[in-house]
Amino acid sequence: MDFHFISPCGAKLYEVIPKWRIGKEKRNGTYGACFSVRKKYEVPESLTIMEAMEYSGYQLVRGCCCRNGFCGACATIYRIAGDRELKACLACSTKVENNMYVATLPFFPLVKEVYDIEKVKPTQQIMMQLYPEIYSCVGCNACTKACTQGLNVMQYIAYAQRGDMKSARKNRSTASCAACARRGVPRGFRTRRSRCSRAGSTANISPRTVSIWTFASKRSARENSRR
Amino acid sequence: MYTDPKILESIRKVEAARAENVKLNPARMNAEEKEVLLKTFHPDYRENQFTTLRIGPNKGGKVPLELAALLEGKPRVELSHPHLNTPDYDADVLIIGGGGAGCAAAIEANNTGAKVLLVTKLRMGDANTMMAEGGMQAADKPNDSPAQHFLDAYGGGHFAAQKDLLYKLVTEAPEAIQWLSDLGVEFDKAPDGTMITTHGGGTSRKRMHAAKDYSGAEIMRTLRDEVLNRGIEVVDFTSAIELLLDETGRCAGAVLQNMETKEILVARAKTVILATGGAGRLHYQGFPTSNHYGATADGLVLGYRAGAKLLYPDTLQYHPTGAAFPAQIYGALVTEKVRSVGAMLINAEGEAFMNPLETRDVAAASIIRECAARKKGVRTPLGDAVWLDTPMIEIKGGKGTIEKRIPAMLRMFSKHGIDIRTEPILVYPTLHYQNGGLHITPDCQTDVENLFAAGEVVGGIHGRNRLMGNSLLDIIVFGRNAGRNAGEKSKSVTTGALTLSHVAAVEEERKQAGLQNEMLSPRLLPDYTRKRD
Repeated sequence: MDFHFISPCGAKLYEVIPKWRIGKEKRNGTYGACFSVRKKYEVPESLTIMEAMEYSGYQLVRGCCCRNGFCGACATIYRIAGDRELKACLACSTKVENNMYVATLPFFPLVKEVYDIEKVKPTQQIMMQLYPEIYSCVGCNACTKACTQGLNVMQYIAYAQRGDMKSARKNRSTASCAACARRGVPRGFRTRRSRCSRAGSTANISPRTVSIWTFASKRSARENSRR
Repeated sequence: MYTDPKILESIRKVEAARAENVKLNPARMNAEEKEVLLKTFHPDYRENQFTTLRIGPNKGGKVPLELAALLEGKPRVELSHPHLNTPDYDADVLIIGGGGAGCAAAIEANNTGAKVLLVTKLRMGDANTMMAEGGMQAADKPNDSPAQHFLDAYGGGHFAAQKDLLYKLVTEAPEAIQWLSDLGVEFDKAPDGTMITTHGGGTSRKRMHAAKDYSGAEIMRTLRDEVLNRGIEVVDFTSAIELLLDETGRCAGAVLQNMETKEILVARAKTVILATGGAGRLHYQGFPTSNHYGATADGLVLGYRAGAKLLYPDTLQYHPTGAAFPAQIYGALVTEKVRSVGAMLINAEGEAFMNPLETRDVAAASIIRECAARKKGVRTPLGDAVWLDTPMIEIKGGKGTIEKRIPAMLRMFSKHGIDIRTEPILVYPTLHYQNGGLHITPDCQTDVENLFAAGEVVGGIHGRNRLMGNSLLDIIVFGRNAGRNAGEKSKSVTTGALTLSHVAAVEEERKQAGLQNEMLSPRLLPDYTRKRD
């Protein structure tokens, strides 16, 4: 089974990269978050992406933790050669496929909104104040498509917009992998969705979206404990 | 997806017997039966897998081979480190480990007004807490009491628990639930706000509080969020490789290593909390593990070299139900809640061979016996296993119970083409929890002054076996205590010059004992890369 890494993580990696190819993603037909290198490995087909990386000699440092689909450390985007669609998954719980091009996204500049749980109220106003960017959602549903847990992300964003914490918190089976938020980063997610392309970067659900789930869940729990 | 004809044939036997099995309630084993079973089949009793330590505070004590190699291993730190007294970080309380115990400690230490620094090997929240599924015990219902909780846990731990620690655990449990609830953890509740509680293996009352089967993730996310909201300094991807003592032998900081650049950093602190967690990734006796990637017993090594004694390092918990099929999730945890909501353990012939709610050590030994001695296991590519008959849950609890109560399990198996609502799953024991660890007082103080410990790195709270739902409880109760005590203690401490003389002494002891072991310790991360000849 042929398997291609594009941006695996870990310090050791740099010793084995033959050369850097910055900004040539499209021409190569591959994609990397900040750099892109073609490197082909043959791996047994029973392996997960994470195991395939280790089988190929990479000792993981970033992008690996629970190895069981809970923690979201190993968010990964991939493309099957020739396929138009760029997909997102967790490397620990997705099996390799033939001619799979993989880019792990082990680092992401998350912004965490700071608040005092004793003082904030679960209202629409507080959502507008803390997470204004969710109101630029144009309903392209790319976040839902990117979800590694099969959750209806866009619907939850809609709940959050309305300040409906009770409904939004149902999303708490999230793995916090941020694939939904990241979907604005790799261009591939956008190319086939004209509405998002037109709306441009302002419409991208920001990295902060992810912390909404915790926020909504916590606020809702507080309400529910007062009889 | 099951494709092997032998496995499919066995499934048909399980299905045929299901209607009868549902009605069964196999008798629990008596004390004598349990003892014989454990001594014959539990991995803790395989004498050739243990050795005696030749150096350190537990010299002469029994530990697993893999742990002995690390405790007697070669320190990573260079003794001639020149920058010890020009530290890169300076804090009142240094917390090593960013899981549930570390974060709970950080919040409480922050409450005392101390300047807190939390360093963690992976990201904050990358910990076994995140993966805990089943729930958290606390005696807060009218028919229950902390005394009842104490008896369950004490008996379940084979009467070996440190009574003062266990007393603290059970008496502070209801408060821990309240604290989490106030921070915003959404436990399962009835419409009127009453907590929903269930049984776990070895409990005599329903006192398991859960958040679906994402209990740990829910708790971890909330704690992590709170740590960030408070602006506590957190350093990710930085592990401690050695503790630092001052010239009077009190703990006063740690040598850190950036996991990626390998840069060595020094953190000075007035008090230090070890909250480094467990050891599943050492794969004792070759068992798979349900633990996260960083569970390599680092805290035991750090504490041991600094002079802290270990308690029960020879006892590990093998969770009876680790996933045994498919290979991609081999060893992953199938929560005990699957059994507490109604699934039973069934052998290849479709026979219910034990009560599903025996304590974990007994259940694990019983499954090993079924496979090894009675030859009634199901052959899978990675070894024998038994069935956990999940479709029973919906027969007992009604349609939709699985989706509602154990959605994570449903999702985990459906990714691999197995619908646990209609098909049973294959399970085998997996290395789950380190019962032993650093010896502490009820104030979380180890044998080294100013060194505190909390969480799985501590030994003795649960004795020789831990009941389900008591570890989420122990990280919160002891995490908070450690944070509070370390924070308060830091106010009266003035740190002297930092030294590594204890490491030099260990090196000397190694030499005296003739140890040739060059394995670097702590381990930091497991190495799963393929080795070519």
